[in-house]
This record gives sequence, structure tokens and C-alpha cells, in this order.
Amino acid sequence: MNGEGEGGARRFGRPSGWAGEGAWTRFVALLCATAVLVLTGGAFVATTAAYSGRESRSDARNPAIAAEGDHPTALWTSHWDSYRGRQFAVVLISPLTDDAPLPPGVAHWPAPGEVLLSPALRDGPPEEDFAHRYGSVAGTVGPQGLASPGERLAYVRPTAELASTTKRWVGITGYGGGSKAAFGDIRIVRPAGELLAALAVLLALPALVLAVVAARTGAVPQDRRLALLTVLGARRRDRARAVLAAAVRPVAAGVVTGAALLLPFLVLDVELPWIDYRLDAGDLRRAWPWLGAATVLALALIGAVLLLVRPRSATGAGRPTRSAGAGAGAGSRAAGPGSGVAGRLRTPVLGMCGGFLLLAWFAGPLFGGGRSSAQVFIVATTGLLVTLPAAVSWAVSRTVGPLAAAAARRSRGPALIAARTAAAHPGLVAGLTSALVLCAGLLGQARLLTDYTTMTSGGPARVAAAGQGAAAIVQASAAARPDQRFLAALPPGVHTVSVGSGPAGLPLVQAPCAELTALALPCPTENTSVTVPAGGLDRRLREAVLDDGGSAGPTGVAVRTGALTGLRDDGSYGLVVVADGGRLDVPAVKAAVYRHLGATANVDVPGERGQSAANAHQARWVTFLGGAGALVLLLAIGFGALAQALRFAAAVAPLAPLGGDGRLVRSAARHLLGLPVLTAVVLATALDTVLALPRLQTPDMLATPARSLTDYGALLAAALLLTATLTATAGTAATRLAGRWTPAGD
Amino acid sequence: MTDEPPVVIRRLSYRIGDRRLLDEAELSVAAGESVAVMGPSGTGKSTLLALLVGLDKPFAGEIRVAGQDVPRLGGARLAAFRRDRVGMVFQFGELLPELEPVENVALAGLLAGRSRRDALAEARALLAEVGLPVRPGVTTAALSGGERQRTAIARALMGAPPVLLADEPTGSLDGPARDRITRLLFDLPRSRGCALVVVTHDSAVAAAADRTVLLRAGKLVEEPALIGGAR
Repeated sequence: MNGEGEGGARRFGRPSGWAGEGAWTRFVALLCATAVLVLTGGAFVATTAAYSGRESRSDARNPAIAAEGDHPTALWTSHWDSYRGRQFAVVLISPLTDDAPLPPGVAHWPAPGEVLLSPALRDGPPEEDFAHRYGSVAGTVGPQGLASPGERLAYVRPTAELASTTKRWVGITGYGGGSKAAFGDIRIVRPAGELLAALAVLLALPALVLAVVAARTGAVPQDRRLALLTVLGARRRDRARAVLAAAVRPVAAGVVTGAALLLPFLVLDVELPWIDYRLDAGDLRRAWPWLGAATVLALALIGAVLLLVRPRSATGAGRPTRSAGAGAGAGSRAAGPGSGVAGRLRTPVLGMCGGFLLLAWFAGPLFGGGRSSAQVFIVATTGLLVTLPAAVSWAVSRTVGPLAAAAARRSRGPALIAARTAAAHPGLVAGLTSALVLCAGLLGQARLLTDYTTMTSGGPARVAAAGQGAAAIVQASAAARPDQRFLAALPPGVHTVSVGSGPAGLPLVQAPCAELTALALPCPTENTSVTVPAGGLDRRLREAVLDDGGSAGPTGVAVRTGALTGLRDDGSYGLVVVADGGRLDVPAVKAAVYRHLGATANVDVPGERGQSAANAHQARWVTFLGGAGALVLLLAIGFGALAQALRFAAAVAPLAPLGGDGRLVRSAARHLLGLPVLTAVVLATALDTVLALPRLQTPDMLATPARSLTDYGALLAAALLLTATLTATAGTAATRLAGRWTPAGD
Repeated sequence: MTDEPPVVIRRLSYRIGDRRLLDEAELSVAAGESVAVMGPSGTGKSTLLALLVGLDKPFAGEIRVAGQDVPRLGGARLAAFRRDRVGMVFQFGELLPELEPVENVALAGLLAGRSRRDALAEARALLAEVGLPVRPGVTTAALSGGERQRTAIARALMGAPPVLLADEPTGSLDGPARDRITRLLFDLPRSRGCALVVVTHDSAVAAAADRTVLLRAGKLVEEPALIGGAR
């Protein structure tokens, strides 16, 4: 075909996509699918850009440690503090020369006893009192000194007195010292690969499902036109041009929508909701070529889906059929389970699905039952999730026909119509069922990944509880000074004891008699100790001293009367601060520690230790992405159901006059859409149970517990709500369509 | 080029499941000749046309149309065959309703790679030949049934294919419209020298053909009673 001819084919393709019923639904579905693909591509780019930007800014601020023979210009050290379980770096820095270079993002040297805070710390909650925790605030750290705009970071210039409380100082000559000296967020973030993998499973996969659903939404008139073009001798490329030309407007609108939604991220440092992460707009702007490439890839993907996911009659095989306008006849034959590329791939995909199921089942015994097994289990269940729709479609299309036909024999009215329609076109039921099972599976996968990331269940509860303990554990170097000023700075109503190594391998607790008494401990005479069994210890003290790590520990503690002192072998301090009832004012304890005890002391709150709270916080990404993916899938399900309702309505439109007020059509649509939802609930429940068994058999693999009856109740309630929403929407659309029907010869 | 007739069917068999629609059927249609295929609904008349145009593959037998071994064609060669060698008229026209009639007719030429100007010029000429005036701005959706069938016939004639196939071309028309389309269609073999195969269940339409064959029990049987009938 020459240039003019090609233009002609495109012209013939373009209007054809938007004629007939369902055109608007198709337009919106393709728009949404394209926009979601563009946003998904943007998410991948934003992730890599954020990691890259974070890395380069971290490299630039990492201290260049003075080598032997160098003249250091400043003393530098850092330690960790935490806020609700999330760690952040506190850098202590002290210039040695007048021309000592400033760290990136720092405009001037703070005076001794002053501190520069990042905006996230400066604007932190008042109860944390960051403004007084490390010293007097003398300014903020600029964006070029932060790994990400939301990073929590403090540069503290301690007084000479406080500087002497730590031996960890190193001499530095400047900055850009490489990753070995890295500090801050870069040290604790998960590898980029993990987040990209989560994006692929939890967001890209649903986006692809939405694209497939959108490609088939309201596509029957287009299929009919393509079949006609085929009979007229249109080549493959002519048909492809017609398909793509027909999709130009919604896809272009989708690109514009996606770009518009991405635009704020290019202009402002947007904080992602719930996960408390602020994206750097500059990083994303610098990645604009990749954003362009991601948009092109999104276009290529939606184009490929439009071209590949078509029935045989529209791909050049099979016969054109008359009733495509009504949809139920030709459309269902054309879009049956054996159509197109999907039909050819079904057998290998079914085999893979079975393989993944077996792998998930035997991941425990075959791979040692630990973390390796957990990884294999997650890979296998992800593979299962990807291949499951094909298996569900196949199984449902094989069983729903006979079942519905049997039901039809005993049904009348709307149920009869729905049952016969389902029996004749099992693809309708199979598609919706697959999407729903995939949606449920995706949420389950998000839960698995969360539990894998935190290595424990109940992550969200840990985040909520972090920083709200009744005790704090303070570790400070031998140079620290637990003097009267420190004790006076502690919040009122607390008791402080020293802990260290005692006789017979027991922990040793030492404090003045008044403190021991307040904690219901005995006051042994000088130079003697008394063993107190674990059961006789104050609960908070027991948690702080004995329950570290959760493994079976010592059975009690040795108690000794004496001053607070460094009881450890190296003379360093271990102190436990316990509130006299109720919650401990942890921020006040931290302020006392950092300003008086030791500049690089470490303050832990039980529950925050072992990274569990920090990990749980990072696992929010998984839940966040899983939630976004589930929303995308719900969108796909909505479009799928609407498309089915429209096809069904077109087929039963001639019955509208019989029903009078449309109740017949609405009721039939309810029956037709209710069946897949209920089937999906049964399948999702069965699958969930099947996949829970290997976890129960190998409990060390993953801490994810089996679902409770409450979970299943919630699932059923959600399914019923979904059924009600879908059937109400679809029923209304079908009734409206049927109401407009008039007899027509052509 | 041999003297082979444009349409040759030998020992053609086709079945759907265990239902045998065509059972070693035989048919030959010469250039300039029209043949009507009759038979009750569901006997396989439309399937026969689908096989002739390569929309389905036969179970066994030979189909040669305009010198091409149709079942062996595939992909680009099948598309070229449909563009250049056959024209097809369907019962309901199967036109794109949002296009003007002249654009619907030109579509076949555009798919064949002709320039827009040439294709539209020939489309106008063909519409004039079938007696349908070109009315700019009027879409096909606004046409009457008879006008749509005239448009469909004009589209089938685009590129002067040696074989015309028509599937119940008058099935949706009233009496007068049916008669006009019948005359128009069956004049084409004589005026253009093409072979015409018309599937119909209307004996009045079949009577206009040079020959009538009856599809009965999978065989194409000459119907002597109708030979030379009402014409």
C-alpha cells in the first residue's frame, strides 16, 4: 500500500473504533490502561532515578577520611537515632581549621553546641523535640546534602566537653569519600532490585491485565470491521494500522493523562502517602529521557496488546459473522478461549502453573525450610499468580458451560437467560473470575512479601508500637559521664540502672538502693549480689534485659547495689531507664543522653531493636504497591464487567419491551455477573488454603499465619460488596442500552 | 493462462463436528456465467462461499478460484487473492456505516495499494454504474437497504475481479428493491465477463442465473427444472 493508501486505511480505522454501543466505555478503558502503563513506567524510572540520585548525593557527602600523613581539616563521626522505629543518621562534626570545607548542604559552621537539622527533622512532631535533642538549632541542611528530600539528618557540632564523651572521632580532609564511609538512609534502604521486583509483580502485572481487559472492552464492533477488512483482502499490516489508528485518540488521551499525573512529581518533591517517602523532583527531571523511553514503551505495550489480544476472526483467520453488532453471537465465538496467541500459549502456561504450584508446595522440604525456602516459595507463588489466570480461564470455561446449562434447565426468566448465556459463552465468566482470583492473589502476595521483608508477622503493629515503650536501653562508651547533670536532665519519675555481665553468665543489674527498691528489687550489701529469677523481675526490666532477640536467654539476673557505672568488660555503659508507670518519655531520655551522657550513645526502645520496626516500615512499600496494584485490578474488573454487561445487553436488548421497566435485563445481568464473583470467591479461598498448608508444614519458612475465619468473613463481605457494585453498575448500563433498542434490519 | 474456468470445485468435503455439510461437491463456473446456489437454511451454502474466499479450509477436495489453489493460500498471498481476484457481496452489505458510500467502495482499492485519488475516481464511476448518485456528506448509515446493496456491489466490483460471490444479496430487501438488485447483479457477468456465484434461498432470484444448483446432502446438484427458467 502506498502512502496515500496507508492514510486511507488509517482513516477507515479511526472512526470505526468509536461507532456503536460501548464506544465510550472502550475509550475510557483504553485511556485508563494507557495512563496506568505510563504511570507504571514512571514508577520504574522514578525508582531508579531516586536510587541513583540518593547514591550520588550520598557519595558526595561521605567523609574523605584523612590518611596517614594527611592534615585533617575536621573531626567527624556519626551514630544512629530513630523516630518511630525508623533510623536516621546524626553526624557529629568539629572543624579543626578555619578553612575546613563545609559538608554539602551546609551553608555555615554551627557554633559548638549547635546543630543543623534536615527539614524533615526540623518539621518533625513537637513531642519528639528534635529542636532541643542535640543542641540549639542553628539552621537547616540543604537539599544537596540530603540523600532524599525527606531524609532525617542532623549535623551536630558538640561542645568540647561533650566531644570528649566519645572516642569514635576520625579525621577527615573533605567529602566525596566513597561508599565505604557512607552514612544515613543509603545504609538502610533495601536494594533497588527488591523494589523494582515488587513494582513488577504488584503494579506492572495488574497494569498489563488492565491493558488486556481494555483491549477487549467494547471491541466487538472493531472485530467485525477487521473481519470485513480481512475479507476485502487487507494485509496484516493494514489491519494493524486500522487497529492502532482506531486507538489513537484514547491512547493519546491516556498518555496525556499519565503525563499530567506525573507532572507534579517533576515539579515538586511529592511525599508519597502513607509510606512517608518524599521523591526528589530533580532526580526525576534528570531522568527525563528515561521517562520518555518509558512512555514509548507504554505505547508499544498497549499497541502490542491491542494487536495480539484479538479473536481469530479479527486476526485474519475464521469467518466474519453477522451478529457481531449484537455481540453475543460472533463476539463470543470469536473471543472464545482458543483465540489468538493466548490459545497457542495455553498448554505451556498451564504446565508452568502446575509446576509453580508443586514448587510452592515443596519449597519447605526441598530448600531447607529457612530463608532460601521462603525465597523459592515467593518466586513460585509469584509464578503461580502470573500463570493462574490462564488456568482459571481454562478450568472455568470447561466447567461453567455444563453447569450453567444444567442450571438453565431448572431456571426461568432472568436466571434462564443468564445461565444460557454463560453456558454458550464461558469466556465471559472465565475472564471475570480470573481477574478476581488474580486480585485476591495479588493482595495475598503483598502480605507474603511484607512478612518476608519483616521476617515476622504483625509488621504494621510494630510500626505503630515503635517508640512507645516503657523502657529505654542506653549504650555509651567508657568515656560517657552518667553524672548528676545527666540524671537531672532525665524526665521526672524514671529509674535508671546499669546493666552488664554478671557472675555465672547472668546479666548484672546495678543501681543505688533507691532505684532498685523502686523496681521491686532487693538491695544487697556492698560487694555482694543476689540472683533474681526472671519471673520476679519488673516486666519492663525483664523485656529490656532478658528478652533481647526473643531467643531463650538467661533465667534471671544478678542484682548488686552501687552507683551507675560501666559494667561491661571494656568499661562501656549499659543503662536501662524505666518509667515509674505508664509510658516513658523517650524523646526526653534521648535529649538527656545526647546532650549530657555521650554524644554517640545509642538509645534503644524494646520493639525497635533487631530492625523489626524499621523493616516493618520499609515493608509498607509492599503494601502500598500491592494496594495500588489491587486498585488497578479492580479497575480492570470494573471495565471487564461493564464490557460484558454491554455485550449481554446488546444481545438481550430485543427483550426490553417484554420486561417493560428493564427489570428483566437488570436481573439477568445480576445473575450473569454474580456467578463469576461467587466462583472467584470459592477459587480464591481454595487457593489460599492450598498455599497456606506448605507454610504451616514449614513454619520457619515464613511467619505468615493461615487466615482466620474472620479473614474469610471479610473476604466474603468484600465479594458481596463487589458483586453488588458490579451488578448495579452493569445492570444500569444494560438497562439503559436495552431501553434505546429499536428493531433494525441492518 | 489456461482456459480453466474461474471457479472450479472438485470433490469438496467439509464438516462441522460429525455434521457433513459438503460431501465431494463439484462445481464449475465459466467466465461470464452466473450460477445460483440454492438450498434450505443450514445446508452449507454460506460455508461454500467462505471456502471459496479462503475464510475456512476444506476437509478434503480442491478449490480453484481465478487460477488460485485457495486452500493453499495463506497470509499475504491470501490477502492479495481477496483484494485482486474476488469481490464479495453480503446479505446485509457489511459496510462501514460511518463512511460515505464512495469511501466504502474506495476502501477495497485503497487496501490494494491504489492512490486515494484513483480509488475514489473508480468508486464514483462504479457507484454511477450501479445507479447510486454520490452525495457528499451523506454516510452509509443513512442509506436504504437497496442503496446499501448497490454500494456493496460497487465495492465488490472495485478492481474488476474475475470472480464475484454474493451471499443472499437480496435477503434483506423488499420486492421491488430485490428485483432491481437482482437485475443489476446478474447483468454483471455479461457486461464485465466475470464469473458470478450467488447463494440464495429465493427462487425468483435464482431464476435470473444462467444455472442453478441445489445443495442437497452435501452435493451440488444441477436443478433441471430451473434451467432457463424465468429469465
